[in-house]
Order: sequence, then structure tokens, then C-alpha cells
Amino acid sequence: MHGHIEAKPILEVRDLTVEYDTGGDRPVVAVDAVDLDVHAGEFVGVVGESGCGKSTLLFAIAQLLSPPAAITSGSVRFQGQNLVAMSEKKLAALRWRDYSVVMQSAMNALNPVTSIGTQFRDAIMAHDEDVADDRPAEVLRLVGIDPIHLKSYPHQLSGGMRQRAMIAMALLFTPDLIIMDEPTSALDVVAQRSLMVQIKELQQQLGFAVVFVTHDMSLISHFSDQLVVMYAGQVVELGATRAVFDHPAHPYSKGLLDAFPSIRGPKVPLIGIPGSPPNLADPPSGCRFHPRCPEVFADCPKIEPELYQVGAVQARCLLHAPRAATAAEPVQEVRS
Amino acid sequence: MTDLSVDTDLQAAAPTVPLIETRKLTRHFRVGRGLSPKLLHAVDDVDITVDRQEIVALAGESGSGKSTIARLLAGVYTPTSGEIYYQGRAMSSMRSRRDRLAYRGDVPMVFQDPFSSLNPAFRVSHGILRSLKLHQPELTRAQRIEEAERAIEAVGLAPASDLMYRYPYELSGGQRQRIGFAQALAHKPKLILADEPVSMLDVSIRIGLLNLMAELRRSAGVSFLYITHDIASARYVADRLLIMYAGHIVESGPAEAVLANPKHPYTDLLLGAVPDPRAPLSVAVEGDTGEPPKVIDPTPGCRFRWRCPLVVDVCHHVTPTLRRLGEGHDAACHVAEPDAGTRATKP
Repeated sequence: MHGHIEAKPILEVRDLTVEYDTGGDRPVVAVDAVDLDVHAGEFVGVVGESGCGKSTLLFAIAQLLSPPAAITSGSVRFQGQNLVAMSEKKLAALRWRDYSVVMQSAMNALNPVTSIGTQFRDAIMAHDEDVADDRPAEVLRLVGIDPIHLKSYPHQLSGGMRQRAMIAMALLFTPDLIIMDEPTSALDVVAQRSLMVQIKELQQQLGFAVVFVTHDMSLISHFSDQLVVMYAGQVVELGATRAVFDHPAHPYSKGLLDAFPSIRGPKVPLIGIPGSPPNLADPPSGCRFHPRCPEVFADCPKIEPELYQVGAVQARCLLHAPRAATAAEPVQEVRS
Repeated sequence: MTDLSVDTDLQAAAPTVPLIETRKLTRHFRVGRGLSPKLLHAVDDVDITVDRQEIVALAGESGSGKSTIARLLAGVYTPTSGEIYYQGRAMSSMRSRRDRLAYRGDVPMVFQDPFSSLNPAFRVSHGILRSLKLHQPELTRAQRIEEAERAIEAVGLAPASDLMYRYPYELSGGQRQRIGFAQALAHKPKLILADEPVSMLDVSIRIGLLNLMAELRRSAGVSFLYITHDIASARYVADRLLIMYAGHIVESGPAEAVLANPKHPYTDLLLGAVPDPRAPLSVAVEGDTGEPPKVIDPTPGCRFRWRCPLVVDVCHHVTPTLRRLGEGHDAACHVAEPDAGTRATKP
């Protein structure tokens, strides 16, 4: 689907739907029929605003959802096995060893009362793997931290170092896939940049694939191979990162791209994306972006768009619908 | 006090005195205990001015001392040495409760985290109404509500009569931060200290708040000290840019001049870190893994020397001071070259 036909993807997400049971009449559909492919060694960026379902998607892929969230349909095939149907015991063996997760806030993800080294050893012991004694020191060196910090506690490290330590921990067993949930969002721009460069270097060196979630599209512009733009639980655009940046097909992607000021070129007034993301318990009819869309037209509130091929990318926008789908056909039934 | 128009009396009265000015502002913190007391130099010898209706951006990494400056200006910390002058008057001479209250009403602060700066147990108007009661006890309850509505509408939240009775959890991050601005705006401020007001918000929301700052400057005549680590957003709103590193101002000047022609190698580093998809693909940019030092009992010398690509011998012995290197453009660097035609002098 991304044009990579040469190799089978290591992660295939098909029709994945996650619902939060709110006790009301209708569940909140946070992830709505998402398809996603990740190939070996690929860097896939997932971008969108707060509440678009991007973190829920990651948690669903990693099988870390807890009630009231639940996967209600779809599959997550990782190296040929369907994680959704897998028992917790089998998953525990896969986690850390074959895929690992780096959480958003390292301060909360690391245990404040044990040293970094102890936490590394815990992960190794939990897997009963035959890992060399100096592996913790080795992974710390990989991320550019002096192994002396194995004795340090999380509070003794700076924010950037804590995130690096989290990434070192994710690398303990050299997994094939690392899932990252906004690992840089608590850092300032300099630390953010250096962490991104480091992730990319490690990826080239060790060959793991990355799924990287962020709300800052500019951050991953130089690092990701594929880009997935999410809005209100749906994928609204996907394609090669450069193609999306050069010719964004969905008005939402255009809005995200125009939302941050540049340090180069003339100073232009920006407007960002007016309004706020919809309430997922009651999404707008038709195209979910239509209330905020600058290019909205008569069909938008009536017809639910699908992902249409637009040049090198796919976009969920009626502007790109094949003609038969809009003008000629009678108006479809609207979800109200 | 019924509108947000510029207070013209004061402008006419003191046209040459800057709105706020610091001279050799310094703040040290004691770290370490018992027999080895040490001093952390958070802010050292900082001279800053903010004029009326000016937006000044203060940029630097985490730990560079920018928030300490904001807190000094807000009166949360007292300076270790140096002085803050507000409309020409030394802050250390404002001793009465009335003076202090008036100053705090004139120079309010907007905080970084809109999720923890509003009390979740009260309606969002609570903070606005409370501070109105404190600063303007002469107002009746109805007048206070009217004032609060006006402030909430001024920050682009409508309808105010409905929103002000919501609880924080009912508002989005961007809306909450707008409430933060409304709180600051309630008593006709002169200078708003905005400490990283957008860094916790989504990129798509940030620009709206930056535009709000520019709009409030225009409509309410407020000045801003905009503290940020994102130099691109600083360029977008600010007239002047101050770059801070390890407690010192290392470069200052008109925002466009500093960006087009950065003098200090640290400014170069900050600029290189800004993600810019419009820039050509160049992942090869050096991954600078250094961090600003904690300045504990410093010895003379440039504080950037450990990370500086241009370091020379003198940097290890002499602390550079700000030199005039271009039109209104200063940098504290031994190596920086002045613009053609500008003689390097101490300003």
C-alpha cells in the first residue's frame, strides 16, 4: 500500500478499531478502521492533534490498552502473528525482546526509587534471556550516556538524558520495532534535535523499525520515511514523507504544515487551524474535518470520504474523490 | 476602568524611561549543605529593557535562567544583587503593600502549563474574579463579572458569559491558556511575563496564541516578555530577541537582525536545532549532545566554551561581555566579528 512491494511488512495493521466504552448510548471510537504497514528498518511518523487517537493507536498496536478502551475489530500482525488474539503470557515474551515502547514522559516511565541499572536488570531478568552482563553499559554507551549513570537515579539525570536512558532500555534486546509516543515533547528544541539525530543514527546502525507519534509535523520532516496524518480517529493522509510535505493533499495536512513559523524566508502571518478537534463521541457528519476546513463545499457534510489515491499519496478528502463518487451518485445516508 | 485602551497619560509623562529595565540583575541559589555551601548562579549581571508596546523574546535552553528572570521581574524572587526599575522607579523602593499590589497588577505572569495553573475545583473565572477583588476592591460584584467577561472576550473566547462558568476540565488546552491570558489581562496590565505560554500546546493551537499576543499588544497596548526555547516562534511575534545561555545574555538585537546574522555561536546552535521542513534535507547536521552547564561557583571564562566550535585561548580566562556589533545588535563573544562599518565597543 505504500508502494513497497519488495518485502513483506513486519507490522501490518488492518482495519483496527478501538472504542472507549463510556457507559453512554454510543462508545467513543478513538481509532476508526486504521490500516498501517511498517517495513523492516522503516521510520513511520504518525502526526495529529491531541485527541486524534494517535496515542490510542500506539497503545493498541503494543496491546497495552486497558479498560474502558478495547479493540473491537481488526488485526495487528507483527512478524506474521496476530497480537490481538495473543495471550498475555505470549505477549510478555515478545515485549522488550521483539518490540518495545518508549513512553512520552520518561520521568513518569522510569521508577524514581531504583537506579537505572536495577531497572535494566529487571527487564533482563523478566525475560530470562541470556544477555551479557555488560549489555546495560553497552546500550547506555550507544545512546551517548556514560555507563557510570547505571548507578544514578532518574532524578539525577536531565530531561534529555532520561529520554536517552528510556531509549537505551528499549534497545536492550535489539528489538525489530520500537514504538515511540512523543519521546521529545518535554524537551527543548536543542535537546529535541539531538535526540532525533541520535534515534536516526541508531536506527541506521541497528536496523530496527520505528513508529513515531508526534503532534509536531516539522519535527519528523527530515527523519521519517512514511507519514500518517490522523484526524478524529481516522487516517486522513498517508504517503512518503517528502511527498506529503511537498504536495499535501488533505486540507488538514496543509493546515498542520502551515501552523508553525519558519526561521527562514519572509515573515508571513499564519492562522494555524481554527477551531478544535471534534468530540469523538459525536463526530461531525460526512467528512469529520468539514467544520474546520477552509476548502469545505456542499458535499462535505453529507458524504463520508474514503482514502483516495492522489498522485503519490492517499488522502481522505472529497476534493480528490473520483467524480462518480460525488456529483453523480445520489447523496448517501448521513450518520446523525 | 472600562476599556483596554492604551494608558496615554503615562506614555506622555515618561517618554524616555523604558517600561521596565534591569541593571546587573543577579540571582544566586544556595545548593549543597553543611560544610560545603555552593552557589548556583542562575542569573548573572543581566541588563534587559522592555519598552512600551514592545514584544521582547527571551530565548534559551532549559536551565539557562530564563524562567528565573521572569520570576525576578514578577517579584517572586528577590534579586541577589542588581536592580529592577519599573517606569524609572527601583523595585527595592516599592515597600508598601499598595505599591507591591499595583506593580503585580501591572506586571502579571502567564504560566507554562495551562493544565496545572488553573484550580480544577473552581470555575475558570474564579482566578479572574479573585484578583479583581484584590486589586480593585471598589468594584461591585456585578462590575467584577462585567470586567471578567470583557477580559475573557478580549482573549478570543466567546461567548464569555457561558465560558466563564465552565470548569477547567471542560476546556481544551488552548482555551485554558487563553484563560491564563485573560487572568493577566484583568487589571489593565503594562507588561505580561509570558513564561513559555505555548510550549505545552499542540503545534496547531500555538499560532493562535502567538497571534493573540500580537493582537493584545495592538488593542490593549501591553508589552510582552515572551520566554521560549523556540526561536522560530520568537521571530514570529517579537520585535527584539535576547538569547540567554547559562545565566548570561549572550546576544541581543532586533529579531530579524539576530536571525539573519547571528553573532554568537550559541545562537547558531539554537537556529540549527529548529526543525524546518522547508529547509533542504540535511540529516547530517551535527548532533550536539551538550547541555547548558549548571553554573556553580564559576571561574572566569566564557560559559559556552565547552560546547563552542570556535573556542580560542582567551575564552578560558576572560568572561566576554556584550559588545555592540551591529545596529542595536550586541553579542558577548570574543570571536564574533562586528558588521562592516560598526566599531566594536562596549555599549
